Formats: sequence, structure tokens, C-alpha cells
Amino acid sequence: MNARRSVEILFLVIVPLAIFLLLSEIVLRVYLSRHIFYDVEMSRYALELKADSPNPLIGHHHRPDSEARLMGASVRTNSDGFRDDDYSVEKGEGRRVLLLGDSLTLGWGVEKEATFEHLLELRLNEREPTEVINLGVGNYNTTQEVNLLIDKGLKYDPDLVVLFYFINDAEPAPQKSRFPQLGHIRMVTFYWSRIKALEARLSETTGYREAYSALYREGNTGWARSQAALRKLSELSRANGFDLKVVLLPELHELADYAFAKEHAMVTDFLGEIGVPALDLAPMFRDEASPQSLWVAMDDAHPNARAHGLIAEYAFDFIAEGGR
Amino acid sequence: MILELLKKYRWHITTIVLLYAVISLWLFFFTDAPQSVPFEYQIN
Repeated sequence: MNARRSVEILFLVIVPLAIFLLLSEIVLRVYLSRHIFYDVEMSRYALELKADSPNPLIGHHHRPDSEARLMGASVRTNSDGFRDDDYSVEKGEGRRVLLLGDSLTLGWGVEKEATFEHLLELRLNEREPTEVINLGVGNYNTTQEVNLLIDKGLKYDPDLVVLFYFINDAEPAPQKSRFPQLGHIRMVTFYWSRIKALEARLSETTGYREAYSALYREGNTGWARSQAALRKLSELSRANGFDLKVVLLPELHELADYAFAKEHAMVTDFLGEIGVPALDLAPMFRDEASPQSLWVAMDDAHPNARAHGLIAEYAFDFIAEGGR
Repeated sequence: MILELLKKYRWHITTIVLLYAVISLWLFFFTDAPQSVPFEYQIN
């Protein structure tokens, strides 16, 4: 093969690809100006609101005093990086409650006024002055949640800490992307996301059910790490004099015959063993005829505003117990 | 030389670009279904 032929083949590989990527990026951006893709929004969340934490046990945290519109909802962080108002460190006369959790507690895809954190705060204040501070950060596992409490939460001297546990909280701490700037190219996110979805359609082992269940199987260190973090949280509650409660949030795919009943039982049994009160909300969602009606979007099974309302309603008595 | 190649292979290029577009559209519609994968995120 002579040199010119090699150049022509290279040309035919590179040029159509470059033209396609450029045109499709333009088309996709026009499409995204009117439609929302979960994976693109998550990529924007990482690029616009997340930053490296100096604490390796936390990995990433929210940028302080930042704002972005994500998954159709406005997300603003306070000076500590929490999706909440600023609170003085010095405690007033009221009760102070800290909520730990991941993107569900953060209120992903839901306006702040509709999050269960805000709804609980409103209802608790009908009984007694209460400040509820939301420490939820997307993608956190239990270890990260507990370490965020140590780093940024304990200074608020809480009376009560409520950890909102989700089935994927036993996942290992996520690894940082080697090429974060690729997230700016929508086509990269699109292909990454759709190829994952294609794999899940073609193979049951890559779906959510298998991925979450596997975290709790013998030999997987995920649940063991969560147990260690929950034990540490329990010790912190005793050492710092705050009450501790855990609420288990439902995974919103299969509610009538809950897909993770066994795993939730493992969590509540363990919490019982270490003396931490726990409330499993999954059985309370059993009669929801259409789980998808509780999702933020078809491609995003995070709880929507209605689901947040139900979580606040079902968890209220459990959280309010022991107040004044 | 590039212009010469573009001219020579314009139909090849058009066909390949259209093929990529068809594959992308197929991927888009074939996977346009309720979320079935675990939550996954970029960190930063």
C-alpha cells in the first residue's frame, strides 16, 4: 500500500467522524434546549456544582455559594455547600435537625420548596421552632455522609441527625473521571449513557436490580463498609449527645412486591443490633399503582415532588418523636 | 490536497456520516425507555 493510499484511508476515517460529531453536537444541543436528559444533567451537576474535597474520605462535595438549574429545578448551595439557607453555627433556642443522605435527600429534580427536607421543616415548626439542615450530596455513600457530618455538620450542634438511607448507599466511593472535560461534549455523555442503557436492555446482569442486590451479597465489601459507617455514626451520636434515626427510602421501580425487601431487612436488622431507631418507608409505598408516576422523569427514577410529599408525610411522626 | 480528497470522496463521506446518524437515531429510540440502569454519576 503506498503512502497516498494510507492517507486517503485515514482521511475517510477521520473526516466523516469529525463532521458527524460536529453536526450531531449542534443538533443535540438544540434538542437539549427543549428536552432534559438525566445523564446530561448529572454531567452538568458534576461540572457546575461539584468540587474535590480536601478530605479523601469524602472525595467530592458541593461548591459553596453556587447555583445551577439541573433536571428542571434550581439548585443553590449555601456557604457550606449545602442545598439550604445559611445557618449560624451558634444554635438558637429551637431544635436543630441535620439530614444526611445522597441525591434523594438533596432533592434532585425537585424545587427546594417541594423537597421532603423543606416539608418536614415546615411541619416540625408547627410544633416547635426547628431548623432542618440538608446535608444531602449526590452520589454519596454512607461513609461519605458520615464524614461530611464530621467535617461540616457537627459544628451546628444538632439535637437530632436523620440519615436517609437508599439502597445504593453501600456502593464504593466513586472514582473521579480521568477526562472530566469530556463532560462538556454532550455527544460523549449521550453515547456513554445510551450504550449503558443498551447493555441493560440486552443483559439482565447490568440492570439496577442486580447492581443493587449485589452490594449486599456475601463477599461484597459495600454493605460491610456501610455497616462500619453506621456504627461510627452511632458512636458519634453518643459522644456528641445527639439523637440518631435512620429512614430507609424506597427504590421506586417495583413497589407492590418490593424488589429490595431482603436488603432493607438486612439494614433495619443491623440498625436494631446497634440500637439505632429505623423506619423503612418501602412498605408504605406498596399501594402505589404506578411507580413511574413518582419519578422525576422517564429516564430518572429519583423521587419527584409528589414522592417527596409522601416521604415527608410518612416519615414525619418518626422524626418528630422525642421532640419537645 | 484536502480539498481534492473532499471532492473525490464526497459521496463516501456523506454515506458514512448518514450511517453514523442512522446508528445514533436507532440507539436513541431503542434505548428511549424507563430507566433500567443503576443511578450513576460523574464526580467532576
